[in-house]
Amino acid sequence: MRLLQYVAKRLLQLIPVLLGVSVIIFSISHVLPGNPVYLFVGIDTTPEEIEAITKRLGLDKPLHEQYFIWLGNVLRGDLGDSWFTSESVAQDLIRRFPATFEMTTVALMVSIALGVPLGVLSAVYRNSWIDNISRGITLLGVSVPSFWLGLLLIYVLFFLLRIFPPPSGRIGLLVSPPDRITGLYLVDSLVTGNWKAFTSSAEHLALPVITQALVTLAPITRLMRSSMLEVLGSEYIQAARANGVPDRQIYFRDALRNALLAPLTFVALVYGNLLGGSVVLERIFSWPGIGRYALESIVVKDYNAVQGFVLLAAVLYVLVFLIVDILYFVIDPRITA
Amino acid sequence: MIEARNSDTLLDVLGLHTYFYTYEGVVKAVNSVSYKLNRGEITGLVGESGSGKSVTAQSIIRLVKAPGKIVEGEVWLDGQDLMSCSETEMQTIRGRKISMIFQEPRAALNPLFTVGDQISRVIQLREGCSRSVAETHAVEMMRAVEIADPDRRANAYPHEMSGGMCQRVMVAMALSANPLLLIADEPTTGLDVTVQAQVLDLIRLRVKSAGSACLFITHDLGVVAELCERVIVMYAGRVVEQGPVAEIFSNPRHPYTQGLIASTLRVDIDKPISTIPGTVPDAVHLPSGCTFHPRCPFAEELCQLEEPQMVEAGHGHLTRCHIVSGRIEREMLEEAWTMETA
Ligand SMILES: Nc1ncnc2c1ncn2[C@@H]1O[C@H](COP(=O)(O)OP(=O)(O)O)[C@@H](O)[C@H]1O
Ligand code: SF4
Ligand SMILES: [Mg+2]
Repeated sequence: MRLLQYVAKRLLQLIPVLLGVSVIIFSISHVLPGNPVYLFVGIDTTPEEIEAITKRLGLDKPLHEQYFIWLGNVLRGDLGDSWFTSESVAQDLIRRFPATFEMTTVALMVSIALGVPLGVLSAVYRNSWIDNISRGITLLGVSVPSFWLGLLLIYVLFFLLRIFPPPSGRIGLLVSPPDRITGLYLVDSLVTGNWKAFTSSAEHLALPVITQALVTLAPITRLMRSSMLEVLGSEYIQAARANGVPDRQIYFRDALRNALLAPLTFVALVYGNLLGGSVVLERIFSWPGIGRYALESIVVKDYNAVQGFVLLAAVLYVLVFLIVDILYFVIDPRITA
Repeated sequence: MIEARNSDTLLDVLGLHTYFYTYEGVVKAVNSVSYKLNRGEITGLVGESGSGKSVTAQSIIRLVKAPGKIVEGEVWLDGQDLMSCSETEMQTIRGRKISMIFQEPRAALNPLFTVGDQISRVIQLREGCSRSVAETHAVEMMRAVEIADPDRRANAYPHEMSGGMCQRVMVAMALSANPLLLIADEPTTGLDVTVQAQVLDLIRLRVKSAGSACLFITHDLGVVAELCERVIVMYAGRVVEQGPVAEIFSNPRHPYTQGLIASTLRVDIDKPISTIPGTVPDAVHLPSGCTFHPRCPFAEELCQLEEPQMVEAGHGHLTRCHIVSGRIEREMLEEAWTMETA
């Protein structure tokens, strides 16, 4: 009940945030100098023709009117057409987003699944071998650029050892993708019982996921370690010990929940960023996600596509933070609705 | 040993040394501390801030935080040598035979669990009973420490309760164990006077009726006079004087104790507050000889050269001072303290 109330409140608060975001995105592309009409015309177009096109595109109307027309379209799911792919931007994004979502979500899950226990263990066994290992991984992840790590992993794990398939996208060239339900290959192939597609897409996911996970693992581990150390040094942990609570319970019941609070915001930040697509990794692994789409759109000045992408990325960011806020609310009783 | 060991002794601390190995050097937070606690008695442990009171308490339950280490000493509880217990054994002693109440009640409670949850968890852990039995017991304990409407309050989180209420919760948790030894580390600091009196009453009542011993840490001599049978005075990691409260307060022999009492009395008669001149010495670079000599109005050359030994200065009254032991022949005049005003 309390939770529902909180979620409702947060959802209401999202409305002005999203409106603000839409104004900013709209302004940036419409206040910028340069007439987008020139994108649609050739060198020999007459001024009359230009005027006609301007009218047809609604660009002669006052700016606020243009905004409301645009907003209305956006709310109907119409982000305009991409002149480069000559398809609707919404369709383009919907087709590509699952690729980004699948890769980043699996990568994030892997880095949380490894980073949290690693951080906890290196705090509990401070200065032991496990702490040293985690420090090494952390240093590697923080200091090595992701493109270099990606290329290195491709070279070693594909080229030299042939453990993983070549970086040729989401699935083997000779394997047909699973029937589209969610667009997530792992999910769709499992649901349709398409074992061949499942293994192939899992294999193709491995390298980009490992690369991304190593990069995100580092700060998560480090944050988890310092957060856990701080909690373990706190008065209430000392008090729990004085009450005879055994170590295992101290770590996993008393300390862990408290220690998770600080890294949670960071994870949200990372995830929000990743969902916008990683230009570098999608490029290296020929991954057909929205990061690459954005890059290509920018290169060919495909305004509608860029605008649609930015809007999607912003909305995803806001959603991730909504979910994290709800998580905080569930974990921490000090947060009131 | 000066006092013969008797069956009333519950806790026997012998030559305890706890050091912190910091970058600046070794902090001798507890330095050759020995004392006994008797059953059914409340013993006050007093001294200025930083004199090693809390570390003494942490050493007894063996929860000294790194970089601290118990270097040497024996701690006997009810005939059991705690220093030779394994960590697992200690876990069964903490919260059963020894309970502790902390200075900052709100900080000592986990912010993410309800207070009822935290009390019943400790009970469940100890009794091995079912969750619901423990919860019932927890509510009873909350009622026993006079928390109004305990059924409802059990579902409150620490941040939803006042400091006084949180301290009652800590007391309830500590007393639910019926501990042999209760350690209270400045349990009423920061509470208002009425609440303070109520918490003290609770502690006194339970200690007396259960026949346990209590080590009551405070810097408030007024509370000691009212609550305790015996008192231990610490200065810079050492016990400088100890004995029955009536004896120590009427006949303090160590200059430091005299100074403490003098400054308390002045507060009572509403004159400008005077404290002992100077400050507690830097814990890493302790003065030579008697660590109190830079602040002592009676100090002589010997005090800088040689550390005084603990000597008997009356019945059950121990003092560590060259004048008391007769190494220095000199009168200690009370005027020495009344002249100092700040
Ligand atoms: N974690 C620690 N690291 C270093 N020194 C410490 C630590 N805890 C306590 N000490 C030192 O031990 C001494 C005694 O501290 P404490 O027992 O807390 O004093 P009290 O409780 O009498 O105010 C102080 O000098 C303090 O600086
Ligand atoms: S030994 Fe000397 S310095 Fe220490 S308390 Fe006694 S008189 Fe003062
Ligand atoms: Mg203290």
